[in-house]
Amino acid sequence: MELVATGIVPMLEGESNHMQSAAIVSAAVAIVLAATTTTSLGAQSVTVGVVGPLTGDFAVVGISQVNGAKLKVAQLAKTDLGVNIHLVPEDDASKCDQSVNATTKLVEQERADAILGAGNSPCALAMVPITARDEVPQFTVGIGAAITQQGSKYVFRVAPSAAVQTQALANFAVGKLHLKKIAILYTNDEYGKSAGEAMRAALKAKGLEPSVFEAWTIGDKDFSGQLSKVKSSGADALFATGSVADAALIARQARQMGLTVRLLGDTGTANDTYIKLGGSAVEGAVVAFPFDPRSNEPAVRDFVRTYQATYGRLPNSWDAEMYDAVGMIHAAVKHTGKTDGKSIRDYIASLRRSSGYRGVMGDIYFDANGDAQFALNMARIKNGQFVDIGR
Amino acid sequence: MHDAIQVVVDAAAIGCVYSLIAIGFTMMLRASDLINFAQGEMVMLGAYIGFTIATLAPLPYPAIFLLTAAALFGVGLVMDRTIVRPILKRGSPVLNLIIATVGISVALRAIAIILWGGYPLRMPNARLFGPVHVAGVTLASESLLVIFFGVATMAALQWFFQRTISGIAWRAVAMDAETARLMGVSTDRTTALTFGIASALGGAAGVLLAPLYNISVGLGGIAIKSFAASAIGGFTLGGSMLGGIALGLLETLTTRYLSSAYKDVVSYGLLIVILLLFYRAKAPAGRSAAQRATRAVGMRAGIAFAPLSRYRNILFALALGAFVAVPHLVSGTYTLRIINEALIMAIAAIGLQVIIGYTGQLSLGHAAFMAIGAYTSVLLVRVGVPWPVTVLAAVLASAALSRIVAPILRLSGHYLAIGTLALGQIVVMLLINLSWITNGAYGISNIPAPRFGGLVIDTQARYFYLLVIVFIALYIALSRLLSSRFGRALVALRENELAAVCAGVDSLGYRTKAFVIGCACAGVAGAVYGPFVSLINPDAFTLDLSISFLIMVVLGGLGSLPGAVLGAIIVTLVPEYFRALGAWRLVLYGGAIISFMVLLPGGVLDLIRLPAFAFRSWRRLVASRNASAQSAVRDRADVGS
Amino acid sequence: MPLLEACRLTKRFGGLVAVNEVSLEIARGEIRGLIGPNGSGKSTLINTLSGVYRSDAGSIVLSSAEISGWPAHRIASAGIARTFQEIQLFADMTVLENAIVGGHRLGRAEEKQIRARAQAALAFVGIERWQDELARNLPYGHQRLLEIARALVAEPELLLLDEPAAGLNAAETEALMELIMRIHAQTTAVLLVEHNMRLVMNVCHIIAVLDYGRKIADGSPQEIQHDPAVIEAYLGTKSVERSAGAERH
Ligand SMILES: Nc1ncnc2c1ncn2[C@@H]1O[C@H](COP(=O)(O)OP(=O)(O)OP(=O)(O)O)[C@@H](O)[C@H]1O
Ligand SMILES: [Mg+2]
Repeated sequence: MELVATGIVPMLEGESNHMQSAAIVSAAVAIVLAATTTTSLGAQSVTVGVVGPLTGDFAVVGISQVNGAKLKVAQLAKTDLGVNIHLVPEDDASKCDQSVNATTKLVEQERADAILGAGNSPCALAMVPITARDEVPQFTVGIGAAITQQGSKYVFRVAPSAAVQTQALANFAVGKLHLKKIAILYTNDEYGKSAGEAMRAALKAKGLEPSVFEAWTIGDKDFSGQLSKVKSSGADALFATGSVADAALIARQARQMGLTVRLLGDTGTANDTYIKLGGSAVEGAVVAFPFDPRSNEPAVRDFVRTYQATYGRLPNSWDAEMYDAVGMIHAAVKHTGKTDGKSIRDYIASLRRSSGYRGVMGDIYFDANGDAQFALNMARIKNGQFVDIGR
Repeated sequence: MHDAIQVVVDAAAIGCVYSLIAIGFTMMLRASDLINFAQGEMVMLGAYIGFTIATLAPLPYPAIFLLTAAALFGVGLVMDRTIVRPILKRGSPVLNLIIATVGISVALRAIAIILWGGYPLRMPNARLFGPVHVAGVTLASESLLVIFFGVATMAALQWFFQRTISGIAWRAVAMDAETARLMGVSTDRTTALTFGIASALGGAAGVLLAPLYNISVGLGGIAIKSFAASAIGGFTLGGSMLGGIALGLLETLTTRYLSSAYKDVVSYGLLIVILLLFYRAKAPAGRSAAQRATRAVGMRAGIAFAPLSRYRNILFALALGAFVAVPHLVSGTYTLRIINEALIMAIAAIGLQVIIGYTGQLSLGHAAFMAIGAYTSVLLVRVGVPWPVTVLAAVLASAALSRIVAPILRLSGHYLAIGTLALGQIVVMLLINLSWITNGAYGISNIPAPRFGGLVIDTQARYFYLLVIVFIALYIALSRLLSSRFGRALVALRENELAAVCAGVDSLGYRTKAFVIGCACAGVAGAVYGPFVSLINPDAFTLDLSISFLIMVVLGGLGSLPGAVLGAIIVTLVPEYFRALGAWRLVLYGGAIISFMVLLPGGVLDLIRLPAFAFRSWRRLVASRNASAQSAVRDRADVGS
Repeated sequence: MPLLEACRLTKRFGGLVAVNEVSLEIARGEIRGLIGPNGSGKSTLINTLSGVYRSDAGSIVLSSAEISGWPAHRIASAGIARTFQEIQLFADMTVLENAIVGGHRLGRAEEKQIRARAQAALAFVGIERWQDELARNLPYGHQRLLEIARALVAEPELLLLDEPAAGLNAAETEALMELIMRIHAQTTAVLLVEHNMRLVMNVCHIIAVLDYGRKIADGSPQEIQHDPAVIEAYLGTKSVERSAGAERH
């Protein structure tokens, strides 16, 4: 018999094999503790590791990863007594050596059957040889192209890659919005560079050159230099890709400078944080929109409602992607009756367009590389809300 | 023209913020010789606390500003009482205090994530007035707000230092602590005041930044630049104010008129040039015997007296045996992997020990040299050079770079710290920007396992043996070197440069050699690190890693090779052990660092030294008791006669 | 040819000319005295000769090599050893270790004998009993002796002593006088800066007098004692407070 007490709170953890408990000290945020007790005899037990930055500048990614996954685990614990999913989050502080250590630990000591992570692409990439060798399916939100090009059969990208999202964005911007002079600003890190360069390539395919292609460095707060270049280039649109906080700040500073260009955003900006931080500056922005929390799909509504009740905020796409990843793992165990990594992997690889996993992100299936194939819509921010405007 | 006004206003705003933080740095440095690594976290806390106050009560911005500064003043006092004072009271080396502030910083960042979540926040409307129109230019009210409060705060501070008794007493202590104490100024009170004010300034900067930017855990990163600003200002109060503004202008101008990608390279490069022009040590510094020891109990050069030297061979044989057995004793590759990582860190750490522990040069750029080693080796392997050869090349590359930049060793004390920090930042920025060779921010992946002819080091056990061999070879070489004339000269320089130089020790020459040797060790570590992780990227070699090395060296025991090894093991294992605790692990880790520094002034080695020390004092006590008993007997005999 | 010949040496600190065109010759094996009121530039001159400060003008020739502008360690290696007015020891090293560092200039070749040499130097000044004690734990007088021992290990040709008797009691000063004579007997030249007139007048062959950075007299102890400029400098109206300061020393 196993007692699973699942505490769900904005921050996690203290977790052992038999009990998970989470306690949180919060000055302003109320403590939400939902404890459910499930007992079942002879249930199948699946261990899912999560590797992501729970500390450091990118903690928001790791926290979302864990929150999304945790929520699905808690829901499944209520609805399905036959499968017992045990979540083990590991912080990697977005340092790749730590991601590799964490992965080794999960595979070896926790006997993880699947791993979600890492949050950032180089770290996810560093994990690939291990998950491939030990045959543990790996689900990542990293957008870097290389992750799924290593020949590993065990890696799945549940997010739109840099190429996919920028292509969709470029199609929409050029085809529907008739934008011609698009300026690109990107962070000097792997994320920003992936997206920035992919956008440049996508524009090139349409015979366009970005009117500005400039970087900024993580930690920079003053973008007036880059923005004045955008201004003098006569750009009609600005694609700023990096952390959502920086993208929002750039929007604010652009408006302060009287720059009225249309803002374009990557999937990282398709969430409430962007609107909260950007305020009126991001009105009218068009962003790649992999997950719509206001969708009327029953599954999405259920997810969003529970998520909001638990964490006091709207879920973002990382939450949704990890939520679905856990759902897929669960589905694999249900269908195959097995909990080993290979069976899980084989099932997920067998998903097809017609038979995709129906999650909150839509119907998910993967190509031969392991890249999720889903239709990527665009959204426009109108009156502080995302409005789906199709493809 | 419009543009120019805007630029100046923007630059002045960010400059004011730099200035406030920089004054805090300068105060710490003047009052207790401390580089406060937690100053950035005061900025971060200021922003978060300001946010919380603003969300809880709809107060006007000036009230929020004052409340936040007051709250941070309190935080500073608590820090002083609970951490700083106990460390100072023990007469520990100032590096202990510096490392303790690193602990505070690590813990506070994690606590902020726990309390406020990792999501960036936006300050509720903090507008006092709308945008201002000057000469047809619209100036953002936020920037003007920052300038207004920044200037007001500095004016208040100026008044405090010039007009109040406490302020004047503070300046007296900063100028000459010894004399000030003789005149009856309480140094305790001064330090408390320093921490209070410096933290309040950090908090003020934070609450000023909050409406301008977003509030996030990374906000404290601005402190690095501010530290540079106070260095530019010569670590004086007035200089820090001007230095902040100057840096703000410099940065805004470089972004605007030069490449933004190379902005940091330019500003850090310029910083080094400025430091070298104005702040290099003119005459070697002497030290009176009354001055506080900069090293901990029992730290010896091992010149005339090498403890345990008789048993050295036996000890080595035992250690070797233990090493051979390790892979058979630990189960699974995970544990072995962590041990291996600790060994890699130890290789770099013993190098840094030579630089910091033996020579007393505070380097905050060690990770950069590890990066050079790693990239050199990996890039050469890629073009088909055999791995062992690339290790040599890596060592040479790191050594060569350190030799090229060695002129920065002309900087003294804290200027060297900021100079090496700038160097580390420059290297990281170059790794990112020279993408045609380094593959930029993506890093280089799929690094093959090391190969010696037919032998492939593809398991953790094999890696372990490889690392042990490399480590032991380096360790023996270093300890030989350090117990020779060379090491003695280094220690002499550290202890009293003036006296050493006048005994014929070439200060810059020896310090350069030590630096090059230390950095070469980092190069070795880099060469074995690449294949270990299988991927290297610039992110792996940031200031964080340099600071980790610093922690290893001080935590283990300053000036001791075994200490550096112990430090590397602890710094690798502790956070690893608590990994599953998420943010809490860093609270624990930070707390552990602080308590080590408070409780073990000589590093973890104290745990080994203290019993030996206790035994020796006990023997001495017994001996003196015997002696006094005998003399008592004699006295009685005298009386009797 | 003199061992050391300083010619029109000048050292400025901002506007202050601490040493002003001072010329000084020291012959081999001679004990040279250098006196002057407080702040007259004696220590600055020693610092300039030993390379701790770089002179602003003038030349220093050590046995026919021009050494002005050389860094301090190079001058030390060339054979000029020194002590400091404010004691500069390796406080947390043992007494013996301190002395060993003093032999650094001997080079790697002498490494084998360095310990013996250091012990000999300690014995020479009479503190060999303390060799394993930390330098910071030595009594003050012994710390002064340790500085001298450290300077002697490398057998310098010229020893610069900056107020070696400062802070010593009468007996210790007496012993110091005797020590200087023994150093002299080893044919080491000595430049002695002192406020203790009895000591200076007794041991020095020739004495130079500085005032406000200028050399105002140079001659035998008898000549100096009767030199009106010297008397003026020490006792003259303008320097009453300064000589009072000297007494306090
Ligand atoms: N590093 C320095 N910077 C600025 N001024 C200095 C420095 N060293 C010495 N001075 C000044 O140079 C002058 C000469 O000082 P010096 O120490 O050489 O005198 P002194 O003859 O040794 O005096 P005392 O008998 O007190 O030791 C003094 O006015 C002193 O204040
Ligand atoms: Mg003097």
